[in-house]
Amino acid sequence: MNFTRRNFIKACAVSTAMLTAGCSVNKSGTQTESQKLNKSDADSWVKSVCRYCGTGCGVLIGVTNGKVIAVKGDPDNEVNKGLLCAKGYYLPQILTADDRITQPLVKKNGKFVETSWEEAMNLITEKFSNAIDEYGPASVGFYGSGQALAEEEYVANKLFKGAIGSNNVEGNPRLCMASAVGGYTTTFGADEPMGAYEDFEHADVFFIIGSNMAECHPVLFARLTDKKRQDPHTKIIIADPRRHRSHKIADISVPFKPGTDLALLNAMAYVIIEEGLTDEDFIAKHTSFSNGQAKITYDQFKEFIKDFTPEFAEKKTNLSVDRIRELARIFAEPGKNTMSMWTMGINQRVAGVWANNMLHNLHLLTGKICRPGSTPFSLTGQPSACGSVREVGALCHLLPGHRGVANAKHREEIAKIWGISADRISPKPGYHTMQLFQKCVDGDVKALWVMCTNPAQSLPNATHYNPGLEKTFLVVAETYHPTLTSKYADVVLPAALWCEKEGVYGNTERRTQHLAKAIDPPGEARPDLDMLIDFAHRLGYGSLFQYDGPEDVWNEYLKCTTGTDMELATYQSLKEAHGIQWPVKDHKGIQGTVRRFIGGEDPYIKEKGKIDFYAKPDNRAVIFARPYKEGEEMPDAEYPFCLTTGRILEHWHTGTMTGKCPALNRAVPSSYVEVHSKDATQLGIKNGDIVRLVSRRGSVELPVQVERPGIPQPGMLFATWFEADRLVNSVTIDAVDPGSKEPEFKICAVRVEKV
Amino acid sequence: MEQHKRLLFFIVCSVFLLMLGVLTLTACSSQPQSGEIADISKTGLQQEVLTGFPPPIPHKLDRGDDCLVCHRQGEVGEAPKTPHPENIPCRQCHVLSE
Ligand code: SF4
Repeated sequence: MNFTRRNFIKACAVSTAMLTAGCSVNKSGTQTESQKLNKSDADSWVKSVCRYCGTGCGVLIGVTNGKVIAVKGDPDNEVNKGLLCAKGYYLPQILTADDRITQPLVKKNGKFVETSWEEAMNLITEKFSNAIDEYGPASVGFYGSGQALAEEEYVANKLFKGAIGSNNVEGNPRLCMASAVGGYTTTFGADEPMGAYEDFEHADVFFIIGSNMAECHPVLFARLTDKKRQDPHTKIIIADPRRHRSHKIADISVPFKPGTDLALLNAMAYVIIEEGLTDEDFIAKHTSFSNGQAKITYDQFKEFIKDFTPEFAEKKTNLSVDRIRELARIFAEPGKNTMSMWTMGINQRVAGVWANNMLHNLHLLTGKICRPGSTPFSLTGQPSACGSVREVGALCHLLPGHRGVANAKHREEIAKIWGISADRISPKPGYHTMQLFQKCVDGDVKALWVMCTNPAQSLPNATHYNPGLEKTFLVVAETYHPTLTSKYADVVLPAALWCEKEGVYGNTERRTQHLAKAIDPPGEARPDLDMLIDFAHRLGYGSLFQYDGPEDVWNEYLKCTTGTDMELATYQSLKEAHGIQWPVKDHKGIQGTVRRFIGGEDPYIKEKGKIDFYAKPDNRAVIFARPYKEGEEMPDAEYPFCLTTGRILEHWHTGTMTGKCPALNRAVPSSYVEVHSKDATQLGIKNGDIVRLVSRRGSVELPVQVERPGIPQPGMLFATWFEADRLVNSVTIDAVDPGSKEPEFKICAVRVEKV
Repeated sequence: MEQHKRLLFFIVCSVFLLMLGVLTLTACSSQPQSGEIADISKTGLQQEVLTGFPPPIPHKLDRGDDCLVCHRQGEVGEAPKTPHPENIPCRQCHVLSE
């Protein structure tokens, strides 16, 4: 293509001007024309949800002759209104990959051999039964996924906690969302965001911290971009140690030093109080204060926050005092609506729950909550971390419907629905994820069922934990083989994928969505739900698992939500609607609830306009005095760089699916490490060189990308981790947040060696 | 509410325009697209011929990430004009093929 430099510069100017002025082309003419193109290319279009991220885009799956030939955005789904990202468009390719398994595999003499379902299931039943008989129920466990269907997680949870009597039910949301859960439950008494994507349209200020929406939640980013374009006065603040693609629309970028954001958040609270930017009326009516151990007074909180001056934060974060004050003022500006959003930069930290609490503090101090456009909104990474794990209670301390195993009343309520006596459910939480895999290493967990996830690649300090997977009797129910995890399996069960089965997902904004079945699974692959029910029957619990398909399971699960603060919609409604946001009072209708805790929207509050944090006994949300805490392992002389890991748009998680799409692979063929140019010069490395990152735990070799596509600050490195051959997680640290048990993937110390 | 409707309108338009884009880009592009890129493995079908599929980017991004610099008006070189310049994160849908 021929460019001239002058043309290029001229066009640049136009490009920027259009964005800031909010111009757009005249669409009226083209729209009529394009309608002609709106013809159906497939025999049928099936309503479903994207298989990837927590945005939860609605899709229509085009099927011809029993094959998926296309995926397009569902124009009637409020989430994406017809738009998708590249991952969504290329979804058909994940179904037909070469390494799909279509028959059960059993490891014999170190080699996998194909076998019948009968033999595979018998072997599994024998091994689990023996372990339970000999070592007790705590010697077996289940590790699920925020990508599994709600019904699958529900049945697994019931089987292990209710039938077998083992609370060792965990899942990968522990690695990504646990701190957000901790934040919402401690501050508001109830998990999950009270706001919705709809708030985008009403917000004046967006405070985005520890989240790269442009790559991780692309369609949400498009919504944000559109908001900015239509309303150029919208202020977008992006607080992140690394400059990334989301910064393209940022008005203010806040490049704090990695691991110091707690100082920034508390200092913002300091400025808000010192400069009188608080909403005193709101604070008096709707909040209480706590130091984590006991209630404190507002005055005591003010006393506490005095230590967190902007000057203190300046020293920690390298941001200027003026910048910190400015941020607080923009966040708290009276009459404006502020929405904050965050993802793993906040959650995957040893002080993840505290950071979440601090974000909620800012909203509570300023009263910027529970009204359109004002809300603290955590974004989830997986399509159904909320729907299938948080709501279903498929973690070691939870029970369905936001209940806990330690609560006798909760155990009783669930036992009744499950048709068992309450003492069958242990009151003691099982092993949380990192413990569970440590117990495999120790030899205490004798048998483990892994469903729909790839822990050998996604656990931190992976090389330490992976030998445990070899040791335990490991069942891996997966779609592809080998993965780093299924390699260690004793039995691999071929699972139906996505539109080869039906069920329900729940996204970031409490939206429950039905995925219809579009095609049959290949070969002998089966839905995970079938495998789990089959397993339950073989273990002798058949009477508790009399289900005739996913709808039946849903109907029982629905009972677990009746009368709670998270009543869900009926299966029939979900099939009809394009997503329904809970709570759905008395399970009636398809309307759902956009915002919680505000009368007029939340069906549990009678008085219109009244804010009521009813999930707390005193109806008040808690403002927490949380101290400053840095990362567990900050850089030092020996390991001078701070490594953070994350996603890129084209790939997802451990790449088992996106790695099957030739176009996505071509766009981004391998994991890489981003380096600042100053560091690159000093280290004598350039684009494409291979370097070895070495931490106290392990090492990995990665190609270098100097300031591409993101720009980490000097002293910081950013690596993607989707490639199995470059096990970035052999370097990351397994220190966990003591509250949420979520590991600190985002910060560890490494040194760089030339290869 | 009004704003809400406007957003809905824009997004619906964008999708229509995206669909139109397939035709425009296929018609205008100086470099024909390679079928291999968009093959749906083993079905023998090619996604790029389907309505609404975002065409991959058929050239290197040696001038950075701001696609609209060239593709907004289509006046630079032979760059085809985008039918939906309001969607600025282009690489959300269009993947690199080189
Ligand atoms: S934004 Fe997320 S849910 Fe939407 S198409 Fe992309 S990956 Fe799928």
